[in-house]
Amino acid sequence: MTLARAVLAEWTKMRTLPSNVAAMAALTVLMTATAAVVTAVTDSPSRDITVLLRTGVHATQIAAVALAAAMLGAEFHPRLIRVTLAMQPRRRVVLAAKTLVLSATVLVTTLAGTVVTVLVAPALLGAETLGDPAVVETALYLALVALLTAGVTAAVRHAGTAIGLAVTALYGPYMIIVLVPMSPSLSDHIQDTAPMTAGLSALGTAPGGWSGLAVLAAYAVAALIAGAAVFKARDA
Amino acid sequence: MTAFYRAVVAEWTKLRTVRSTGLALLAMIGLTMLLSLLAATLSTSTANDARLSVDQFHFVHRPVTGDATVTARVSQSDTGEWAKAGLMVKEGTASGSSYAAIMLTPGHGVRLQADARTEVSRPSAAGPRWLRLRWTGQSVTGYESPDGVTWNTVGTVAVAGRLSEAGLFVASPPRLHLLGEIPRYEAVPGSATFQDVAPDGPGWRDTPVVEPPSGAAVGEGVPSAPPLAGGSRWSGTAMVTVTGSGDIGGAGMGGINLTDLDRVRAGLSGVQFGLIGAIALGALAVTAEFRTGTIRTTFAARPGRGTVLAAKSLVVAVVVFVSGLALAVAAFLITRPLQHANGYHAPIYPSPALTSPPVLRAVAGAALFLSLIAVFSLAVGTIVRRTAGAVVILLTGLVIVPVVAAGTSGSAAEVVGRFTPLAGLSILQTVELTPLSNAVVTGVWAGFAVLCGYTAAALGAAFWILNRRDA
Repeated sequence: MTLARAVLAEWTKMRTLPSNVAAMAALTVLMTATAAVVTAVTDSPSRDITVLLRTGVHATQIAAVALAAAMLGAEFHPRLIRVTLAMQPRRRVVLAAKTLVLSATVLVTTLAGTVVTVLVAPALLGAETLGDPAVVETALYLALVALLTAGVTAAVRHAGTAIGLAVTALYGPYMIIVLVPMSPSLSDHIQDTAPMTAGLSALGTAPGGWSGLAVLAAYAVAALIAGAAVFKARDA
Repeated sequence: MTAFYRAVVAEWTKLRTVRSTGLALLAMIGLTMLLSLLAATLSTSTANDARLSVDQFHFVHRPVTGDATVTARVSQSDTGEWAKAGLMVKEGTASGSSYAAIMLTPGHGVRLQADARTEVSRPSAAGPRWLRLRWTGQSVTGYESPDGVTWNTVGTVAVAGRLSEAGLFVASPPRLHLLGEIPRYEAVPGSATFQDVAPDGPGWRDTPVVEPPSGAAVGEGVPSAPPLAGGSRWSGTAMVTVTGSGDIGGAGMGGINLTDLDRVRAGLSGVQFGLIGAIALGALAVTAEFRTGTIRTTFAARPGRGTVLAAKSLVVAVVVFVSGLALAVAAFLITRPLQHANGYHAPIYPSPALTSPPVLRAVAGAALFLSLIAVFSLAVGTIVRRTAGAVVILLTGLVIVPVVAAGTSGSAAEVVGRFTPLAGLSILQTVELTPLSNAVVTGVWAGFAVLCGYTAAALGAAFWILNRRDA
């Protein structure tokens, strides 16, 4: 019962902050908007819908990172966290409620956005649309990215720093793969173990995609454990 | 002036006493070094050991014995400035065998080559030319003429092999194609019409001269692509249209460049990762004041808001430039021996000294690049005022979009390399780029000017908004 109340409290905090509502709207709209823009500006767009979704994911995950960082970071900046903890002194319950609300919000909004993108894709790409869109995997991927950022934010307690760290963790290994000439085996190894590239592999049509999501989930869990440890140990 | 001086001192005190400044500088240095060191240790070159040449084209030929002459009027279709069409005499028809050839190029005049080692060129007007190749033993002389009456000598070259096949050839170099996840070279079909071919008559044969696949990845060695099917179509006994793709020549001649020649730029490539630290430093220098409300104290002490913005920009620019300069010099000095050990050394890869002008420009340019990115971030931070918002905007524009573009589409990477603040990375170039070796071709200063433009525009907008808004 305590958890249910904590969840309700977190949901109220989340939906009443204008910047969070904006981020939630972005989570729904960005996927479709990016797909439309990409097909409009590319001269020879790929007919593959999985490629289209993947481009949309890059845009959408920034909104997921921003929402997660804002949701947890907002507690620490005006020291709202003191009120929160006065009401619910069990810190693990607070963090659990926050992560539940966050992951549910991201799952629902991005699922809606992805379904809309898949529905309008034939209109964008033309009749012979290829590929089998990984709708559920896309939403799960974005929820895991949000949880990873939530863990980082709980650990560093500052939204801007957390966004910087999360983006570096997601795109740093990818940047190294793209910019550094290296052997294909090493590049594959980095792709399979880095959080973003491993998670994105679940969005393609290649078999074994779920193991990629498991890698990302492991990073998210590690970040949440670190965040929970800091949250429990430090003075608010 | 003293007011500005005091403002600068105040901003410097604020910047050096907050913990985030040191952390951001540390991130800038650490991330830059990480990427530069990875690039230096992971990429290797065998260019100095391998014979760097391409020998792939469509050959219409007939056997020859002893000393002889081939003549034709060549009109070439323009499929690239380094497309090649002309006359050749070769030791058989295998790729890599000894040859001498005289050729027209749409952009670089008439050229005479031998064995992918020697090259003589003669400027000529575009359009059809008469070409002639005459050989005595292993000495080959090339001639060109506008009308087939007055002949100019292009030069005389020596070949190593015994010449047994002579005829006409067409080659057209591949284009770098970046669409899709893996960059690759795409063959370009070239064509030329040869008229008044002498000797004429029957006996001509077609051979596509094809290189065996090298197995080298794009970015290593000389650009090459699997050839397209070439062919010839005769009209009468002395006129033929030949199509073919490929290239002939060695590294440094005939427009053939190594794709990884610029080792100074490769050593400094880490700044593209390290700019995350510069973004953090620039953005936090102003957003932290808005967050804590210190900005009201700052403006109470110094109501001239333009002065405060100028002082902040100057302090951030100087701090990032000085640390960036030390970082760039260190990156250059540390990566060079690593590159050297991995095969990047003379004669193919010259290693210029730190004091040579292009290297000085690149090293100071890396520091200037980071410095301008930090000031740009400061201006964006002034406009947005919220740390999280500014960081999201800056990381999206300067990190995510460029790296996703570079990883997915060549045309998108080209737009990023020319028209976004990252165009400023062009100042790291120490070797002139060619369209063949790099997707993004921006002049050293042209690209840097784009970054300066963005920074000036952002500072202007920040000044305007700072004056209008309540703090």
